[in-house]
Amino acid sequence: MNTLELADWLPRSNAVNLLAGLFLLSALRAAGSRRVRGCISAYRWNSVALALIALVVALDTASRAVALAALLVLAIKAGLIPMLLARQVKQQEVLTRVALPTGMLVCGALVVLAFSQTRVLFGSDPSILASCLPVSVATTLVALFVMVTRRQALMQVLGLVLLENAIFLAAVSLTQGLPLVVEMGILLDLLAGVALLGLFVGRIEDTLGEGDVSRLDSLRE
Amino acid sequence: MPAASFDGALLVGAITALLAAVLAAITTRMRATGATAARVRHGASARALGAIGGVLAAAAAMRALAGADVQALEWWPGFPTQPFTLGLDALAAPFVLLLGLVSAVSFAAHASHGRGGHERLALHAGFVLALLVALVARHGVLFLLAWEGMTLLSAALVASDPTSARARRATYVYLAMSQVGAALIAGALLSLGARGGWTLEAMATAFATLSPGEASTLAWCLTAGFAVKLGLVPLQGWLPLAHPEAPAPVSAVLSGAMVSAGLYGMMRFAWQLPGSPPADWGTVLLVAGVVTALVGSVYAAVEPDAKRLLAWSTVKHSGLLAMALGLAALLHAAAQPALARVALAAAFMHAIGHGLAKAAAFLSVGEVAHVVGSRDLEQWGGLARRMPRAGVAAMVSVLALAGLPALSCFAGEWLLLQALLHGYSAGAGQLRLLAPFAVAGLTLATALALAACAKLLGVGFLGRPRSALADAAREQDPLVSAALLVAAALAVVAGLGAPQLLALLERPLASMLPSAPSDGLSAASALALTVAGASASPVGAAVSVALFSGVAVLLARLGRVRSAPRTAPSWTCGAPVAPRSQYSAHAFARPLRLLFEPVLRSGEDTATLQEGERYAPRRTHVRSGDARLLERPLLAPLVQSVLFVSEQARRLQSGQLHLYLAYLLITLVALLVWGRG
Repeated sequence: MNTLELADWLPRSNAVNLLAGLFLLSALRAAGSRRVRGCISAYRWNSVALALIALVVALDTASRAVALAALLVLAIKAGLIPMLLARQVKQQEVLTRVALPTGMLVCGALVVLAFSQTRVLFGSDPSILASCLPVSVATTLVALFVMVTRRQALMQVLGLVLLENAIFLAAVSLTQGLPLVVEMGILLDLLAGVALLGLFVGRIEDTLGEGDVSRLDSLRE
Repeated sequence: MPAASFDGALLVGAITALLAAVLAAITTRMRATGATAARVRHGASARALGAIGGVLAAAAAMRALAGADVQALEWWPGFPTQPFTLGLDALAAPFVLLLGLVSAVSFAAHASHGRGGHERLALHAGFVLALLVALVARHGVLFLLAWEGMTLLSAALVASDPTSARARRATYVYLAMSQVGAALIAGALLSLGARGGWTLEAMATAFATLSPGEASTLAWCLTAGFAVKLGLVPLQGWLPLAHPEAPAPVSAVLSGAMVSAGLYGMMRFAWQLPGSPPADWGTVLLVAGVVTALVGSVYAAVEPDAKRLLAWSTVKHSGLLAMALGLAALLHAAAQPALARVALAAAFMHAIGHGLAKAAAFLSVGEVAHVVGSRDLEQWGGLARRMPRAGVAAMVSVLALAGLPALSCFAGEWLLLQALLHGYSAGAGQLRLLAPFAVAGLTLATALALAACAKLLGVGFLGRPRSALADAAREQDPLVSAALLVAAALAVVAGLGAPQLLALLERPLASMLPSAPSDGLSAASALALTVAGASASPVGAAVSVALFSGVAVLLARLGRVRSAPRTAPSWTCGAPVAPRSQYSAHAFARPLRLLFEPVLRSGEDTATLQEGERYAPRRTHVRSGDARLLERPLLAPLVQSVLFVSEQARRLQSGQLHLYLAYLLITLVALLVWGRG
């Protein structure tokens, strides 16, 4: 099968839909897991799905830059960042403000909301973004929810990187890939950010005992 | 074509020179502290650059008044709209002329003494630059940026004395009121720009497409916003607090040029862009102007602080500016274009005349206050003899502020009075009712202003020194003294050359009132009003004053030749002659204070201690509250409600990361649901 046929077949195939489903499910798994390590592995799967979607887009548009970006995503987001995060795990249990089942219900509501509203926003367009954009918006909301409801600083960092994945997905699906320089810059930014945040998480845990950020409000004024 | 590019180059030169002045002052600060000579030289170069910038701006304004349309710069900032354009049209030209002259003398008189002197100089240059850009901006966003920059830089200068709690309070009040005004202006301009475009021309067309109700709402918002800068009652509270706290050269620019920027804003955005002012605009401005003029002059008359007295006098004069503008709008609406031209000319003339006189007054009084070390008039006295140049400059400029003929404020007040009187006889409806009260208010305010000026000069500069510091006061910097004399000379020239100045205002008047005939006022050598059949000649007035005083001096000389002066002790009822037996500033203002006590509510309380002496009181205590007319009843509920809302808003600021993130999530969801437009 040559490239032209592939480009013809891909949009009609369910490959992107499947990968987008994997993306969303892994994000939901990160929101629902009781173990910190489980969350991190969910993030890894999320990143793998993202890299594969980017690869599909690269094949679809025959763009070498997007393919390179996809490989970088695979290396950094699925490899390096989860490793850095896993190194910071001191406590196995996830501490939440909202009970996990309730949280999962809220996440489901957010996903429904994202799908319904995004469909209204963009109509039914048979391109790749038709399935990717609602997934990206839903993942954004779920990741924000994770950041809001978790007590540990580490889990908030995890929510942040998840949020970044969702935004990356939106960028890839909306624009068929950003310029390579931009993507590399974003990845480098993210890597430096996670490294720094890891440092701070360590410090916060040393200071506050358990890394419970709800005690940070004593810093106010 | 060469002429046009020359005019543009003048404006670009002015802006470049001011920028260079900022840079020169900043680089001086960064030099090593040891090299004093280099610092002084750099300070001098910054001052010189600033003064050159002012002169260039004034020259560009003169070219624009002479008929050139100065287009200077175009810069595309990447904004998805029209490019930022700087240009000097007929309406802005009188204000730029005033700003150029005032800033030039203020830089010349800015001896950057003390700690932080160079920072102040840099802020001063930046402030003047922002003011200039606000006046020549032809783009809404650029105007807003410059307007905000002007407010913030001048607020930094108001707060430049870090040890003064009074300056801190003034800065807060100034910033709070200015931001409310700026918010009104920004809201109106942004909603206009979003409809049409951002250039002034596009805004004018956007105004034309609006329904009358919307257009007048926008015009009223803009008017209220600019009224804050103008200091109209009830928005005057910040002005007498903030203007005196800045260093004297900055006070000169604040009172001399920034107040008239408020007038410029009203003329430009509430009158010229909509084509004509909204209904009842003239009535409201005229009434507010009369009240403001009265309040300002009463407070100036009872104020013991020399610089704050001048600031209250600024309130009075901005009241006159609002009166003139409101009267012009009323006459315009009453189909009296020729008289409207006279009233508008009064607004322009008074803005320039008052700006020059007030700048000179603030410079000279501020220099004296700096040398004496106190702004309290009770500490001054006998300074005309000890600081002769500053004394002459203060004398000339303060008398000009009182509106005496042949000095700079006279022409504007005279034109305003003529327009009021003839508007009464020619006008219909509201003017028949308003004009008599306005005339009475104008004359009362002028008389009270004369009392305030007599107090400032008589108590502060004549008599004997009331404190050791005043006794030791000497002129310090000859350059500053020379700058003071130049500033005062400008006030005299503007007074004597008023007819010529009026002739220059032809194009600004035509740009505001395109339909008016141009024969309302002719200005050969006198301010002759063909429409009103009245004329006044400043030169004639000056000649007659000189003649009469010359005769008096001559007679005195002749008398002295006949009888040699005798020296004898003066009889003072047996008490020793002391500086304290002079008329004090408080005593001078006491009759007025008693007269206006129902309005002032200063809660004055006098207690005389006899302490054994039956006929000569040992000591008199006077306790008098800070008079705050209108502020308590009008602003107190507002302040309370703002505090309440802020207290509620503080609850949102819990300091908890989760809550902030939750706000983000809620906003996102709300946008998804409702933000589809």
